[in-house]
Parts: sequence; structure tokens; C-alpha cells
Amino acid sequence: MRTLAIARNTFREARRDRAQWVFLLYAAIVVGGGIALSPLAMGEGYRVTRDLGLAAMSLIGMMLIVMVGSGMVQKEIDRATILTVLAKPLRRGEFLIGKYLGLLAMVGLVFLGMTALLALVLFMREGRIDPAVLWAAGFTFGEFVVLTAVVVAFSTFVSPILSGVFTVAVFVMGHFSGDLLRFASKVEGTLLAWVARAAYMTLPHMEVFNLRGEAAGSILPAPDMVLASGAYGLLYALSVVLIASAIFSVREFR
Amino acid sequence: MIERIRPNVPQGSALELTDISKRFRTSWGKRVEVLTHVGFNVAQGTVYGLLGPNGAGKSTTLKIVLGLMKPSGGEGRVLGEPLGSVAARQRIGFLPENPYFYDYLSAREFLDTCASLTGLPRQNRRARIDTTLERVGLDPGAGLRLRKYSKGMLQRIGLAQAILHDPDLLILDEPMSGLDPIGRRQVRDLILDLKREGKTILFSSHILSDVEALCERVGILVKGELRREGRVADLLGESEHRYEIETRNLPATLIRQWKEKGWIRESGDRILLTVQDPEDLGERVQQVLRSGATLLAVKPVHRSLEDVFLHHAETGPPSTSMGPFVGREAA
Repeated sequence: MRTLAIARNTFREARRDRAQWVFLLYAAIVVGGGIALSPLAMGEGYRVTRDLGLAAMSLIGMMLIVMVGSGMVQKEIDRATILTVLAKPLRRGEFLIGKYLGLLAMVGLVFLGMTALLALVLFMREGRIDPAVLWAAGFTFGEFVVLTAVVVAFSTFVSPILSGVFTVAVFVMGHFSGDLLRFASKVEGTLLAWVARAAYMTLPHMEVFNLRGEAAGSILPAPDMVLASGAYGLLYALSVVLIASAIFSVREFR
Repeated sequence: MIERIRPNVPQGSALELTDISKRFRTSWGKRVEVLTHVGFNVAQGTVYGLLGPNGAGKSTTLKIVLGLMKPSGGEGRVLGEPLGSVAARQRIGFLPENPYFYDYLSAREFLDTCASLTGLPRQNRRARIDTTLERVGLDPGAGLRLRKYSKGMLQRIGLAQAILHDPDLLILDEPMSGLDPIGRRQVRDLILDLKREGKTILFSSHILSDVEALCERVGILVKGELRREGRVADLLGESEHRYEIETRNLPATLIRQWKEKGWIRESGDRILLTVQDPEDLGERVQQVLRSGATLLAVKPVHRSLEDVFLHHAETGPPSTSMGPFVGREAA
């Protein structure tokens, strides 16, 4: 109940700050980009729009999460609104989970809009919707579930700029986490190998949520893959929010 | 109304602080002690004023009570619960200093959020919010977002969110700040109303006349030390009587003689003679009359809280004395 009150408030703040308008940027990329690039693709307009739409969805989602989330907790501390809220019978963890859920709700709303638009544009081109594209979009939301937790965690103990930079870094490195392991095996026995392995263990494996290649081949994910990826995303997000809650619970507010 | 289990509160105490200390580390690693062995009790159903200059540690003390900061040393209980516990906060209403709330919300939306956070049942909320807004002098019908509110209106919203869930203990950090004289009067009346309802109120303020008018007990914090603590009546020294003789055209010889003794001060064309000992009052009046000066008035004066406060704020070590007498006219 208290967590939901914080979530509702966080969602309302993002909505009144017009964060959802980032959807227009996506629309411009998918519709405008599709129109502009299709003539160059020699009959592959559908493929271009699909690939562009899925890639832009991931980037726009990341942008929204960083824009809204990076200063989310720090803003409450700077404006001292946190004093009023935390003086209520609310646990620090409940506050942070509420913040997470509120931001995720906004991200979810924009995600639904982006998915619907992409499906509409592809349907208008081909007269059908490829389920593999919808699965790829759905997996992108898994990426958002993890990244939202990461930005909320960073926003509890670093400045908004650093929180934004770190989150983007996690997003990028998370997509290349497999390369870290390969790199570690090449420099075996050195400190760098140890650092690379630690980074591999800590960073989220964002490629788990990347089904854009499968979408290109109209391949549907296997049920166990859906389950494993979903469980991984939820567990990773939960762990990050819990660790952040533990850090946040000892924080003092001067 | 919220169903609450009321634990056994130590007889008569809403808040007990013992030897509370707080140390910070600066960014250079230097340790700074902002509270040193602060201890006081606030009895249930009373109004307690925490006084002190800026940076004295008032807000830090209040934040420790609420669990927004952890004490470096000492202990305390609030409403029979550990400091800052969720159970205690369920029964506390808090108004922070210079309150700033979610400015994208209307007053009703903000109070609805606060009601959710304190577990106020949904079916009672609307009526409760209306009553509370009226109580703090705000229009329940207004749908203005808080970013359009003046400082005084924000202060009232702050008070509204603090009393919304009918708490037993109110902690108000500078509740009169930003209010015009009418607003101050309304807040004063509200505090007295709450006290009549049996609430306990702990507040910090710079406006000493309000503290003097409202509080049974005060604590004077200076540089993190509780320099003086006790009943307002005791601090003001009710038993001490001083008198002031107001004259005009006093002969120069008498002025010089009394000035050397530090008995008089000049105010425009008037001379004010302070008489410390009531036994001497008749003799001094006779002297004035014999000198041919004009006797304007003879008045009893008492110490104000401001005198006590300034004495403790300006002098160094903790003291139990009442400090030098600086007279103020009796009301």
C-alpha cells in the first residue's frame, strides 16, 4: 500500500514532466526513418523498419530511464521532500521499491506505445504482424526491467550526472559482457583477467534480452528461454533494488 | 480512524532523550561534533520548545528523533518505541523546516499521498482531507498545484500533512517561518487546540514570543550543547521582581552618579532607572521627586525569554544561572 503510494506518485511526477513524450521521438525514428531509408533498401523496407524499430526501442527506453531515473532520489534529497516522506511510517526499502515500480510503470507505458506503433507500421507495410517481432519487443522490456533497477540504485548514492553516466555504461557494457569473459581467457593469470571476470559476474547480461537477430529470421523463442530470461531479469532487478535498499537504509539526511 | 495499538509509554513521557551525541565527518575527514550529550524529556500533552541560533543542532535533534539521522551516542525513546521506528513514526506528525513538497501535485493529491503513506482508510480520506485543509486555513476546493503556492501556504500544507493522520506527537521545525502575523496567530491557535486535544508538541523556533506564549518547557541549544532546560516560568524567574522608573529632566549630577553605578539608560529625552531591590524603590522615587525631575512612570519589569536566550547564546560555557538581568516592560 505504502509502496504503491510512492509508485503512483513517481509515475505521476514523470507523467507531469511529460517524460512520455519521448514516444514522439520514437515515432519520428520509426516512421521518418522507415520512409527515408526504405528507398535505399531496395525492396527491404519492411526489414529496415523492423530492425530500426527494435533497435530504437532499446535506445529510447534506455534514454527515458536515464533521463527520469538518474536524478530521481537525489532530487528528493536536494529538495528535502524526502524528509516529509521518510518521516511517515515508511521503510526506506518500501520507498525505493515504490520509486522503482513508478519509473517502471512509466517505462512500461512508453514501451506499450512503442510496440503498438511498430506493430502498426509493420502491419501497414506487410499486412501482417510477425509474432517474432513482438517477442523481440517483449524481451526488450526485460532489458528495461533490469536497467530501471540499475538507475534507481545509482541514484541513491551518486549525483544525477554520475548516475546517468554509470547507467549508460552498464547498458553498453552489459551488451558486451560475453566479450569480457573472452578477454579474461586471453589475459589469464593477470589482474586484468580477475577484473574482467568480476565485471562479467556483476554486470547484467543484456544480450539475454536481445532477440533482434531471431526476429530477423522469424524465429520464436523457446518456452524455457522465455522463462529463464524472465527469471534472470526479475532476479537481477530484485537483487539490485535490495542492495540499493540496504545502502539507502543507512543513509543520513542532513 | 486508524486502529492503533498503543504500547506502554513510560509514565507521562512522550519523548526521552539521554546523552544524545552526533558527530559528522567533513569531506576532509575531520570529525565535527554537532550535538554533545543532549538530553531532555517531553511530557505527554505538553508543548516543548527547542530554541537555539542557526546551526545549534535543533534540526539535527529532531531528525534523530525521526530516524532521519542516527545518533553517534546516547539513547532515547519516543512514544515508548525506539527512535525512528516505523511504529513510532505512525504516531508522529512532522513538519520540516522550509518545507518543499511535490510541486506538481495539488494540495488534495499531496494529502491523499500522505494519507496512503500513513494508512488512513480510503473511505475516510476525502472528509479527513477537507477538514484538515479547513483547519489550517486553506480552501479545500482549490485545485492549484503546489508550485503556485506562496511560502505561507506551503507552510500550512506542511502543517496539514503533519496533523492529517491524527498523530499523538507533533514535531514542528520552525512552524511559524514564512507566515504573516495573521498566519502566525492561526498556527499558534492551532498548536493550542492540538494541545487541548491531548497532543504532545515539540517544536523549534526563532520567534521567541511564540515559544514564550505556547511552551511549558524549553531547551536552549547552543553549539550542540543543551545550555539550559526547564519550565519557561522558571527560566523567566517569576519570583524575581525588578522595577523601572521613567523620568524626564533629571539633574546632571544624579544622571552621572547613577550612570556610574550602571542603573540608568537613556531613551530619547527620557531616563530609565532600574531598581534591583524592591526595598529601594521608595527611596529612589523620593530622590527623583526631590530633584525636581518629572516622574513619568514606575513599572515592574520581567525577564523575557529573549533575554534568557541571548544570554545563553552569547555566553560560552553551560550555566545554570539565569544570567544578567536585562529588563523588559511587563505586559
